[in-house]
Amino acid sequence: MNPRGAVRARLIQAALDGPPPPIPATPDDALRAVLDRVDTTVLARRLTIRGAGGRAIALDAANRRLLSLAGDAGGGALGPGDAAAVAAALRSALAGGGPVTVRSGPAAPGAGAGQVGLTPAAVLSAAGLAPLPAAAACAPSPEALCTVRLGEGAPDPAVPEDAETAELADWAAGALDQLLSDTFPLAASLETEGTLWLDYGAEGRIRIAGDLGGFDVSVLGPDPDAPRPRSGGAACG
Amino acid sequence: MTPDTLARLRRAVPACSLVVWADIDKGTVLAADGDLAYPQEHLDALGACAAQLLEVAAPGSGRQPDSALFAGPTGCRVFFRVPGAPAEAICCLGGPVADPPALLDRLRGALAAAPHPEAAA
Repeated sequence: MNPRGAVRARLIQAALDGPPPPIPATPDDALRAVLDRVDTTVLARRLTIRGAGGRAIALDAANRRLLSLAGDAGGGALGPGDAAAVAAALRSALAGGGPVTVRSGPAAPGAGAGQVGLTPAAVLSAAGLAPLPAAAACAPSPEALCTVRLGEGAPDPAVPEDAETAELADWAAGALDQLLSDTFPLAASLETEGTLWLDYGAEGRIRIAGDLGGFDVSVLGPDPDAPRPRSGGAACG
Repeated sequence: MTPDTLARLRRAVPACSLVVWADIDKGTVLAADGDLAYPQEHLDALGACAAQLLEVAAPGSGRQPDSALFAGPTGCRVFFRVPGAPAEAICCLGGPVADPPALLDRLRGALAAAPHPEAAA
């Protein structure tokens, strides 16, 4: 079958299969599912959410942020101060419980240009729900031998740390000074949402996960898959 | 290493859209191979990233890293020293991948199949 025929066959099959199965959900699960879709939307898209009662709500998302609610629910640009209103609007649209469908379509031209938007985490917080699971690359690593948090969300400095943790915190502060300088091209990405691994061979690895101004710095053991001889341990643990 | 080596490296690891060979001591891009013609500033920025990341000294020993991986929501970048020529680095630009360390392993494996002349000596 030629490529055009293959595409046509797939389109016919998709039409015969009908819409994708709805997301079964309690109202809270539905809200989390909708916000999870926003959290995985990077390029500008319009998401149309239809609840069990048939009521639909459309929203614009890009860069993993909610930019605006369309139609009766709003229409204006959203910012960090709108979290509670958005949570209430989404809860109202999803109040019936039951199955929910989320459809992703093309965004309106120019949607999101210059907008800060609203993070799914802020809406969840305003709704009194737990945050979404972190992306796999940013999840706390079970293999971490020692972890410190710096910047946003860092623990109270008055709380005493053990010697190894204090040593790692000192190192991390110096390394972050270096990595967040204006001369480092990836500084902004690391600060907002990036994960950096530095591999020191047999001495182990360091993982720095940036998250909106906060940093989790972890010491990991040597990479078990690396093709080199091993000796010694990691910096702390 | 030649530009052809870079082309073969990128063909062997399709997740990479750009591979750059840089001298991180001198801050010079030696060669590049990409699916697009990237401007020199872009290549220089990747080389600068490699130089800065591969000089972050380890806590305690002060050892410099063999490799660095950076993963963000829109893609990842891989930097590692060329075996046998630690002043040189391979920089790779790729899309989002589920397992960035596996990408590094694939790149190292592909480079081992086309070794640097000094590494082979």
